[in-house]
Amino acid sequence: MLRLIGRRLLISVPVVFVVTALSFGLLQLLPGNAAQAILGPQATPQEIAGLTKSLGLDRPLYDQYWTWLVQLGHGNLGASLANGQSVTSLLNQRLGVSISLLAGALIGAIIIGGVIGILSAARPGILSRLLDLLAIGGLALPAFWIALVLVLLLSTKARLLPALGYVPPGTSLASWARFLILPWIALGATMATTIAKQTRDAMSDALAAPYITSLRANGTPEWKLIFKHALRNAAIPVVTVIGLLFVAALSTAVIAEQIFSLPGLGSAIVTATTNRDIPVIQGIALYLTVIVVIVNLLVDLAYGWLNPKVRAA
Amino acid sequence: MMPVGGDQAPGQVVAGPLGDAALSGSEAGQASWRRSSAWRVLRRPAGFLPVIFLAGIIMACFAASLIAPYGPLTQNLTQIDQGPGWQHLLGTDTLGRDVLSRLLYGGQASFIGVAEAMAVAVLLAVPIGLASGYLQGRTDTAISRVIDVLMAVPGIIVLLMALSVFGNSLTPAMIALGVLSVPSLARVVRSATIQVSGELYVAAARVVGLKPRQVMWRHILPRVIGPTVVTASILCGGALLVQTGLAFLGFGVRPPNPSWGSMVQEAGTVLYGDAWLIWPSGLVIALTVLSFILIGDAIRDSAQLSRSGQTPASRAALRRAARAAARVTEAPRDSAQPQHGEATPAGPALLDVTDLSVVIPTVGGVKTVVEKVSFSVAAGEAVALVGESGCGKTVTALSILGLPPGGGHISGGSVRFRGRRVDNLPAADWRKLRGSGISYIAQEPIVSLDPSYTVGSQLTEMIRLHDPGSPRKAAVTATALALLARCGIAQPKEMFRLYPHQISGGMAQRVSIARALAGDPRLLIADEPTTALDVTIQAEILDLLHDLRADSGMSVLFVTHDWGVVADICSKAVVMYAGQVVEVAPVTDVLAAARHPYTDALLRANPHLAAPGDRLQEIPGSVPPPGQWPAGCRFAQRCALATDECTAKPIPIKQLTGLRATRCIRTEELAALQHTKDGSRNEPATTA
Amino acid sequence: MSQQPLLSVRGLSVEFKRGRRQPFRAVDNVSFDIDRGQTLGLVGESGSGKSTIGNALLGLVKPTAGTVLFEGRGIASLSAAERRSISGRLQVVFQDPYSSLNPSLRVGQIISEPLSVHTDLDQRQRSRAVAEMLERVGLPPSAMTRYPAAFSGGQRQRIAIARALITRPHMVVCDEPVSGLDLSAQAQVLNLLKDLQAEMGLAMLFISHDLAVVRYVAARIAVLLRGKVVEEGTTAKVATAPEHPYTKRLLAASPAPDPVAQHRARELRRQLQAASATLA
Repeated sequence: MLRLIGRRLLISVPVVFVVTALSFGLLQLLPGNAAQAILGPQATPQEIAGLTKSLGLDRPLYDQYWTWLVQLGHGNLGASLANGQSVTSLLNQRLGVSISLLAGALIGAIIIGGVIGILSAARPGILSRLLDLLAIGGLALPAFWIALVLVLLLSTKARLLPALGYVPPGTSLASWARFLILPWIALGATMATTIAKQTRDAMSDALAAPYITSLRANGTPEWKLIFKHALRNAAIPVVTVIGLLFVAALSTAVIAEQIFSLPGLGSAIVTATTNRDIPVIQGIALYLTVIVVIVNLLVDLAYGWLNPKVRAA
Repeated sequence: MMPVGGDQAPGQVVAGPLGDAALSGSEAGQASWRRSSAWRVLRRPAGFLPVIFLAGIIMACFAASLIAPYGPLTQNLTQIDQGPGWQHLLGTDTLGRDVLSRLLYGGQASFIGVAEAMAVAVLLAVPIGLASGYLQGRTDTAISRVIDVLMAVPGIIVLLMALSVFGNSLTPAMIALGVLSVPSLARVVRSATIQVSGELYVAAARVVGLKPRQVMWRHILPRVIGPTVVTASILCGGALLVQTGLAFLGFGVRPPNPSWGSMVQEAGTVLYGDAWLIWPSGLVIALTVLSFILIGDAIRDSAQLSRSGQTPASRAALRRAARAAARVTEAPRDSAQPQHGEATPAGPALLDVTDLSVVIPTVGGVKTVVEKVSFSVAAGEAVALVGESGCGKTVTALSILGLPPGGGHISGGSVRFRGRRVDNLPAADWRKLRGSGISYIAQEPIVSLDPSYTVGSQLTEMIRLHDPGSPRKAAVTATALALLARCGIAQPKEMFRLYPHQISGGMAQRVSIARALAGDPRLLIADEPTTALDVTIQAEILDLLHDLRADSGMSVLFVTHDWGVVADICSKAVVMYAGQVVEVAPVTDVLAAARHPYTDALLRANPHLAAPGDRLQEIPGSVPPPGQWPAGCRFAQRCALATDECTAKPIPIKQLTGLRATRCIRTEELAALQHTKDGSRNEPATTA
Repeated sequence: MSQQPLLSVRGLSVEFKRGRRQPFRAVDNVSFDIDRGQTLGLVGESGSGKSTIGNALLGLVKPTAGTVLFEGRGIASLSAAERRSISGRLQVVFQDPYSSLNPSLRVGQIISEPLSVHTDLDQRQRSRAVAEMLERVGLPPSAMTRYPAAFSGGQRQRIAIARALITRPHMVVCDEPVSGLDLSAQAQVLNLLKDLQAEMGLAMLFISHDLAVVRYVAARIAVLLRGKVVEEGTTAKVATAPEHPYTKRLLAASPAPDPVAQHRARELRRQLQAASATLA
């Protein structure tokens, strides 16, 4: 078990390094003079010189990276080029929004997808076939399109739910949920269908295993076979899928935040990309990578607990 | 971005810690990839339609300048926000531009983007995966580590970072996407390579003397292409979603030039007023992605078809057959005269199987696999159900327990346990009977234990199940420990805490036996329990079963193909061939002289009974499978004594003297033949 | 009359690395000889190392120590090219008939593959050789154009034998060739092997866990336990008057279709168990 955690951390360090190095290399990749590219053609030479100095572009490469790392160690991620706000404070404001979105969608997808998957494995038939169709639909339909259609149907036409905006949970838990329902559905739909299909397949495999036959032949009731034995074993492959799904969900979250005007990390990175606000991009890259690392760690822990070969070791 | 991996359906991901799945090479029925696979894919509608659609739309988009009715930027402010109509087949947008034309022109960038991403992914992933899988060792470890790291990188960040630098063109982002897709594709290639490399025919090729390059080219690569193409086509779908998603966010092709993603975005801004625009652009993307996925599915399914005969279509046929079979059940099944063909020994039989028939739905329809099987097991008796693979012995054994395998069910006859009819019991009553009246042990010991629970917890669970009061934990544990000890486990307390994967096959079988004894059954059905074990362990398990029977008077129905095992612990043999019982006899008698040519031939084919100089008796031909059983004697076509009378009509089972029965009408000729061949077979095998 | 043995193994050891743990000794200081036209049976249970010995001879696994002389020449660690030069004379029949034939190739291609490596025959000559070989193993020449999937386990094993023997090797390593087969198919394959051996003067290393089969096929037997040879001798001797306790256990455990013998064997097993318990 400890080895598993150790291995995850061992991978995570290079991951963070790769992402930060990449984001750092951005500055270097900008064609021509980076400061000029950022400020645009109208910039005056003084402005260019000023930005160059403040971004440290006149110093050698390793020096710049080292300074950045040191600053990172102090929790200082620089300042936004757009409005000078500290990147750390900017991102911390938005962190809660993105986490609300991601966590809610993920938890909802796990619960709904899991239940549908178990049901269609235990009672194969119409539900199973429907699930196949849904799963393909969930994969083929673009998430941004699903989001817009949801807005069209549930918000614009039916006026059931608000389309845009965000209310922090501190202000009103009910409003917080109301504003997040459409984004949760948009983000969670694909994840739910994939989890449902994975669960169904894993449960079917588990239910076809020899130990289930032996247990049944010795008198174990069906409900126990499904919930105590098959589910426990089926959970293992499904849990690993969840980790990968989460990474994929980040891209969808970015789009969802744009569409639903949620002031989270995703919408921030889009704006920052358009504006070439490098410090903000670097900061978000770091935050998102850390979130992924944490989620993967949780997945690994769950996996380690479930998998008898790891648990026993 | 879609998570991909393995060769299963899209969205089915198989990730690092568990290892990866790939097409199995060792199953029967593989067909040539090189020639017929493409053809087989295209022949089915699920493969054929998406290919047509995809080809069509790609050609249409790249021929946009020729076939589009309007230019992509042509505005017509008198006809804004129109729905579909004759002048504009898919309507117009807020500036009166024709939607269809814009879609055609806009698709070019999308397909180019997908091509860029996939080219990069395939060119990098295939060599990396092949190298990693074939060379293994340190190369493989190093590459796998790098893959793990890359898979943990949130791709959207990398893409957006690329875009921040090269905002005007999506090409660098698509190249970056290609690189980001390398890990999942390389994983699939790697696991397919590893799997194929481990197949014996690759080892055989190496022994034949092929150079490594030849081995790779001739044997490994063709089998790896399949899963690679499946994954690649799914990745194409994912790449298209990414490309359109980025365009949606405003990157790439700049307005007013059209792109699929930006058209969805435009439609989004006017959602309140115009509910039509959102549909054409979104559906075009969805249908194209769907085509990619369906093509991947079709390729995977046609590979599975050639492997196991199980495609969605054939599975549907199976379901229909199962439903048809279910309807057949309800005819009254009391048989007036039990046709055992054997005189029942004194005392009521513990288990009485009478004219049992079992059908199983298959792709070719519902087939009878067990036909009118009759035999009995007395209290304290050990009966062997003997036969080769495919004779129906396992189906019979499981059907006695009310669990006919493969979706089959009992179509005739009856099963009586302790005088009470059980084949038509409702499920709740069966559950009470299983484990406490009749219990079961299977062939492969370790996998018949739940891998996720300790031996102790599985045993206590079974004990509680059969103990109606709610006994205290300490009592249950004590019972479990006692059971383990009785089954020959030297250190029960240690065994309690172990998981199935930590114990050996022999230990696992002892645990299985302990579990089967938890409810103190009167009859144990043992389905080839020693076939998977080493011979010395087999002897131990047989000794254990022998002792358990002697102590408790439990009966055993022993399913096996091994006559040595039959001779070891059984007193009566029921020989099955092609779904029927062909001979019933006490073991000593049948080993001395069989009364059915099949039994006789089988015994003569046993190397144990042959002297080193002899030839073993061969049985020409092969067993007829269910559905192709001849009308008369099923063994006639392979029998040296067959006559016209044998093949004319079905042979009933006939009772002989001395508790014997046979389904042969040529027993006298057989006896004469055995006499001339002499009793050399009857020398006991010498042991030290 | 000491002609050089066809195969001479001395002190063969094979170790497998296991990461940071001690390497695993699958084969430990094994020595035996096989003369021309002779069959040596290698008997052992799982983990005895018998298959590893076979793999080492075939060049699929690298020995850690020891020498293997085939026709007087050392073959323990050869380069691929060197290996190729002897592989025409030393061939293999594997256990699993379902996985030892490439399912994507036709039977004709599978059997003629060794010919294309070791001979200069043209296409037509190869076809003829393949057809002859198929008849020799009891299959119709029309089998050439079909895929392995169309054949039963016993038939596939005969195809594997055809592939192994088409270059007229001097020795064949048979690694559990009948273990996956039904009794009737097993009889066919064993008879075939014996016939072909007599016809071609083949030497065989017959690896199996089934003592009865090995007794039937081999003139000499070596018994393996955990990588070591614990007993070796003529079949008659080893099978009727074994000396090593493990061989005795093995014999007592082999199920014979004779209840009287089995009863005796059970008694014997109990005695052996009691004996080893008192020793422990």
